[in-house]
Amino acid sequence: MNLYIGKNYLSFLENSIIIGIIMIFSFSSCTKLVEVNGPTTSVNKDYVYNSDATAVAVLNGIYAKMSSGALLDGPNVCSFMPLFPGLSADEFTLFANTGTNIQAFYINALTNTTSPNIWSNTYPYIFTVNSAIEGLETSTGLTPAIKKQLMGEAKFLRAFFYFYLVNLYDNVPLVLTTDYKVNSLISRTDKEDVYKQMIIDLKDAITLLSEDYLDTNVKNVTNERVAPVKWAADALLARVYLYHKDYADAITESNLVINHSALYSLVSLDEVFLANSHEAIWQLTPVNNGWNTEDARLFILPSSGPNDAWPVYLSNNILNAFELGDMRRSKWVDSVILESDGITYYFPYKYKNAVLDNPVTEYKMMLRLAEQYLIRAEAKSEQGDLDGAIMDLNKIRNRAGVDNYNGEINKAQVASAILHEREVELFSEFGHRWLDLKRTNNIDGVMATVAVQKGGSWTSDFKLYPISDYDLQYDKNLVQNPGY
Amino acid sequence: MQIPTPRGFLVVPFLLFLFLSFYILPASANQNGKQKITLTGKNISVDLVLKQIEKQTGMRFMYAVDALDINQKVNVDFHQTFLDEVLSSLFKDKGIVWQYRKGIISLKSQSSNTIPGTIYSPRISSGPINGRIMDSNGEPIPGVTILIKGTMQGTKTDVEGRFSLSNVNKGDKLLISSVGFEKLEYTVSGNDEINISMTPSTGILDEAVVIAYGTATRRDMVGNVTKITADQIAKTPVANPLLALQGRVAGLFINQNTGLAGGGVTTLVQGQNSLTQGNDPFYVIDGVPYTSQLLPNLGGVLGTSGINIANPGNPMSFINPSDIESITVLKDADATAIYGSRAANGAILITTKKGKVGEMSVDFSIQQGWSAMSRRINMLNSKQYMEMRREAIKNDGLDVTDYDYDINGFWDTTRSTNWQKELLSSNATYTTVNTSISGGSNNIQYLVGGTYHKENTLFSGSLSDRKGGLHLSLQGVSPNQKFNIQITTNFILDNNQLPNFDLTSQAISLPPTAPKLYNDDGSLNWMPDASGATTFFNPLSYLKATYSNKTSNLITNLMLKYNILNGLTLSSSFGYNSLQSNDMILTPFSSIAPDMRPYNNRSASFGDGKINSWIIEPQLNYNLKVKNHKIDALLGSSIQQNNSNSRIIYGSGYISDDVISDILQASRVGVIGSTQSTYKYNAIFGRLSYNFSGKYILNLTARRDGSSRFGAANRFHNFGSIGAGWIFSEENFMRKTLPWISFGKLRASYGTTGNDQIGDYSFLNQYLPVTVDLPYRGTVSIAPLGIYNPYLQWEETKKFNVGFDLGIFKDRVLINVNRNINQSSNLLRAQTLAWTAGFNSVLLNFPGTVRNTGWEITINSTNIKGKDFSWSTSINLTIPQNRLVKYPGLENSADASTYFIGHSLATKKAYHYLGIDSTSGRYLFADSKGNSTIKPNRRTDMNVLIDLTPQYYGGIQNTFTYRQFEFGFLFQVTKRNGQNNTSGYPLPGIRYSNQPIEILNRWRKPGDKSEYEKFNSNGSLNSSFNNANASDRSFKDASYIRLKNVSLSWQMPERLRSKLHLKTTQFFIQGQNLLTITNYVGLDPENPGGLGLPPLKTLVLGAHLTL
Repeated sequence: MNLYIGKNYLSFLENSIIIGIIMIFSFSSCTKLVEVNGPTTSVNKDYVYNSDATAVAVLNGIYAKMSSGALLDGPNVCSFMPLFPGLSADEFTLFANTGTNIQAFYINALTNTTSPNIWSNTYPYIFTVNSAIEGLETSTGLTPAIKKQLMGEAKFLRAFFYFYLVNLYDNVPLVLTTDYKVNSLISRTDKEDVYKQMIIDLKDAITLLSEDYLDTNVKNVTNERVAPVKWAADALLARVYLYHKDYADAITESNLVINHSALYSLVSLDEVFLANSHEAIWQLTPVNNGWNTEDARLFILPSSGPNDAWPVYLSNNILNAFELGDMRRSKWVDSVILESDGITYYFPYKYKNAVLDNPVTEYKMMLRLAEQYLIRAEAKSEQGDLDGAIMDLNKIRNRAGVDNYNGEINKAQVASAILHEREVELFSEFGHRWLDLKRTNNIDGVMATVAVQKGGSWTSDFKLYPISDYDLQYDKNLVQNPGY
Repeated sequence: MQIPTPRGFLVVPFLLFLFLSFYILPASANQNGKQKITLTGKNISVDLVLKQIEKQTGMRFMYAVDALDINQKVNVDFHQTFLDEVLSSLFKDKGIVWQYRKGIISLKSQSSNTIPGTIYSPRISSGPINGRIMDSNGEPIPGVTILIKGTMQGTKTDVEGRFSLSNVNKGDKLLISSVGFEKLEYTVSGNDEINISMTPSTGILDEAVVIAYGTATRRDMVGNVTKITADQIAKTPVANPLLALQGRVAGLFINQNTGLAGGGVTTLVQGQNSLTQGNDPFYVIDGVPYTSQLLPNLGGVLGTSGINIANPGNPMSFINPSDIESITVLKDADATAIYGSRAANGAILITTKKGKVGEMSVDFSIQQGWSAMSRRINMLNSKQYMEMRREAIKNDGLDVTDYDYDINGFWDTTRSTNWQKELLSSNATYTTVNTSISGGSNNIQYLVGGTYHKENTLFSGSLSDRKGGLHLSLQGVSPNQKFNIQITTNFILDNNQLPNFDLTSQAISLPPTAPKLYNDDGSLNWMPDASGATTFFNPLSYLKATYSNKTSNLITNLMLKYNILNGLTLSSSFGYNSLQSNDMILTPFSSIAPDMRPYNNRSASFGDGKINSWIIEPQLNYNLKVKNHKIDALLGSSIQQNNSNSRIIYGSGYISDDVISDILQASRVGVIGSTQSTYKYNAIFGRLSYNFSGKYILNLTARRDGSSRFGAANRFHNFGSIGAGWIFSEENFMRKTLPWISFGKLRASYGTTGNDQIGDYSFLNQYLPVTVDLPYRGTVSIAPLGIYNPYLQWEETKKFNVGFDLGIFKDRVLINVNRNINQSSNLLRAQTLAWTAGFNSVLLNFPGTVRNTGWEITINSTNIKGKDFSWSTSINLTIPQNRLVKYPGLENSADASTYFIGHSLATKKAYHYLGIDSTSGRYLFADSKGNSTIKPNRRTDMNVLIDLTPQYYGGIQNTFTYRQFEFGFLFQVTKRNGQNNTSGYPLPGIRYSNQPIEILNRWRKPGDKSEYEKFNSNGSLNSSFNNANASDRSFKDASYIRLKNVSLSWQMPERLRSKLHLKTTQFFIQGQNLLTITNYVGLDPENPGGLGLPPLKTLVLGAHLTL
């Protein structure tokens, strides 16, 4: 072949360029050119559960999210429970009819599209917990003590989430893996099995969790009560047993907590909700800029009274429930009197710190000792130990400045007294009132009048919340609760 | 896994270059004819002999193509023989004479009359003239006819565009013509070598159209490609070039999602292919791929660009329309398969303006205009509003309360404000100034341009979008014409300031009784009650919370090209794009109601996004033309990397509104968003085009792509296409039987393309930080990003296109019909999951199929072409059809009520509306059994399917010219369904919310026949109202005809212009969206169901001068 070139000289520059282009040509099309490292903004799952810090961060992520939710948005159990079930029950009055979804909770007219929807919001947390459990089980690179503690926290949290799901919806799908193919088409599990699983998880958690509160590194003991410890698992298990009517076990578990006086004791009403109070079994630190608890932020009314941003205040039902001289009525309830019309609005004042940019003095209370006394009282009463029950009941009454129980000493009356005590002790906390009315079968009786007072109507079906249309649509195996 | 690299193929050219590089001959062009030649060979071609002589002498031969049979075989045997003798022995008995001049040996025939194409007439010779003819890009044009005016004497250019012509006198005029170029007249002024640049002719069939990695003409093209020129763009007063395409391109559906500057624009080429992933076309600007989506940013008010897209804004807002020379829209497989995995949704190529050979020319244009709302809604006046509210309260059995400020007398109920007038009437000015300087010699051409653009928002005179742009283009060619360099740089700076809230919905829904905006002292009026509670959220406070975006966009491309051999070109393009934006949302106290200030902080968010991408694309081009065979071959490679970084920082707790934009003065700072991703991309591609006799065309393209967006197992894939065309009008029988058909072509193409719009790293199982203000327990929190799928693959779209092009009456009427059938499979889909799965979706490929078919008809017609008056029309019409063809297991899947086999992807499932129950005044719907119900069941009773994809769309442009006047208008037509009226409003009767006037036709008492349900104030009819919005009552016709564009211009007569020394002096008026004809009930049929700011109508006056 004769190669030909005319009077064309190639300068050095031209040669270099051409050779350069050829080189690029030749070296292109290699696998290496399309290989990338993982993004620097994320951690790949392969590493997450093989390093202490990242594994801790996963569980930390659950607490952080739970603590950040605003009560009106109700994006998780922790922010949903204090407000919405209270509205459904008789704890709150809703200011003006705004036509919003909140109203549907208030007038017991939920539909399958009402939000916030705690079903849809809780399963994502369960997914994270399940992936943590799976990741921790196969992990080899973690410090054993940390692995144990984290596994305990994960199991504790799984039980915590299922407790609320099962009590708001009855039978719920029991999701224990991260396999979306199974989980997205799962059907409801009998609530007995859900309870069994909660008990298993909490028993595991009790053996896994530390007895001392641990710091961020899960190494050193601290007085910050912001991650679950063994006692939290005992406390939750006591509650689960009570709801499950395993009274003897409920007594055993609550005994463990109540008797651990090195850490827990009943404190004065003003101190109960302070950060790391001696009554706290588990708390969450605030994570929203400038604010203490989200509860205080919503409940404490501005001087101009309720409005769209502060739409709830305490109902007369709860105000009238306090006995004369009950200090909880004065210490845990506050009010504003409007200049315009002289009307007084009462609001929960358990958390007192709702001024923007105030230093953090209060943590969100997740589990506290007073409830353990009431659990034990109820369990004892159910077991026939009425004296023991009254003793526990009086512990709580006396702390609030109320005299000892002086009603009739029979099972029904004592049970009724305990239910009443729960109402005034635990109001505006985690929907206790709603759940108590449900599990004691008092709900239909109470709500028949209250629902009408609130502008709605009541059928027994409303004691369960509806599953959202979305979930029904995408999981064909789900069945709606009756009445929706 | 590796791509089989093309190294084997490359060995030969590579060695060739090494060899050539060191084989540089000394130039020795003295003593013409006395150079010594050594050459031996038997039965070798004259061509080879000439080339050897060129090589040994350093001189070049020049001859008319027809004058010499270079393929003739000869025997030669010369040793150190003088050149003269060699030539003599070669040519003396062939009647060919030669002449030496400036390193050129020009050959010509003695008895010229016998050689066709080179005709000599008896003239007094005054020496030969040599020259070279190139196009505006400096590319040589072969086969150009050069004729001396008034004679029969002429010649043609060779493959390098060179010609030589004897017997030319000073003052002679040369007539230069070639198919596809404007005819030229050149006056000979001396004996110097002349260089002439030809501009492509306006003959629409022969215009150069930029396609993937090259150019083509409509005449030879097999693919489905539409081109929009600078001229058309210049008539459209828009800031985003995509909007200039609206209504002009068949197969391209463009939706402007908001009238706010820099807002989202949805672009779909031949329909929606992907169910849930990106459907954006592939944008290429001057050879540099350009992002179709911006990074996460704070501009929520701007709306998004596309279906299933989260990030607001549109990146094409940062391209200056006036810098654009042409936009080509590539649609079918023939045109797009060479872009492989990124072209399933078509490609849009933007080419910017370049300098042209000629004197320096200074171009200046200015536009000044105004924008306003294109449509308004008739709302209730105060009297009607009060009536509605009171009736609603009465219907609910309630009384007017202390909190019903709108009607209880606390607000002045005698006021009746038209809030649309009040809030949306700011004088929104529109200004554009463009200037450019361009020119160049044959070796270097340049263009420098600058732009300034400003448009105010309709809400406020003080907030505006301002842009400044710079455009540079430089092209050079080496003296030997072999080496080309071309640099293009486009730079734009944009400062967009908007309120962080679209006031339009406020302007529509505010009650007419709402109080005045300002107190007497000039402060904002919040209408506090006795307790100090705000009763009126003043809409002007939204203007205090501003969104601002400063973006700079640099797109630059360097193209190096070397012509190795005749027809063989090696080139490489080096592109770089840097798109950087800083945006900011400020929430000062002045935007917060006074009584809420104790509970809020002054806050500010700062976004910072950067996309840097580079691309290198070496290419080897080979053209061969032998007799009737024409071959174009292309082999190329692409290496690309994109780095995306973005960060959003939040500051709060400032002590004053004045310092709020200074993050240092925030008492608390947090990072609330961050993206860092790398996208690498690598491919080899090739194209082979074969054209026989200008009648039969065959095109093959292939590409092998690798992308870092997919897991290791699925990183590479092959794409390809085959296309064929038959220009039947070139057949003799056609010429004879149907001479009025000036052009006719049938063409078809089939091929595969892909879609990789899944975002980076989707195949990894990622844990991302949980973004809370303060770290929990002072430490980091992370959470799973989603359910991951490591086996993600490309989405593949197979495209089949049949086309028919017809030119009649000498191409005065050009008809272009395309039928496309595109089938997308292996669909990437975020499959919706029930929440029990933990996340509500998982991205996966699944064996579903989506088919997009369409008819695209384009007609360009010069209806009247007279001396003074002409009228031309161009029409485009698209009849698309989008179908979900296959979806295995749809019935039992989560998508069962979202997608429907045999229906479009944009199908809405709705209740069937039956009217209003005349006794209860409630909306009635059909349940699954056909019975009427006021409480339909979402799962069983939604049984009406409504298709929301356009049934057809298109545009009609008419242009009239009369002497110096030109008048044109474009009507854009869209036929489709959409959500009418009520959906954007709250429940009629609820507090503080005005309603459209139609609502008055409501139910009042038993027996009433009405259109609307009874009024309701407490929300108890919310679900009924929502059901009505989700029924076929609400989804109705939203078709419209829009007077998209009007332009009237006047060019100063030439006599006057030359006096003023101006090449162009044009004055014009242009209008955009001036009129909308529709039956749609609501604000804007382009965005049915929404209450956001619709595309504005704009009117501008302007002038265009060229010095």
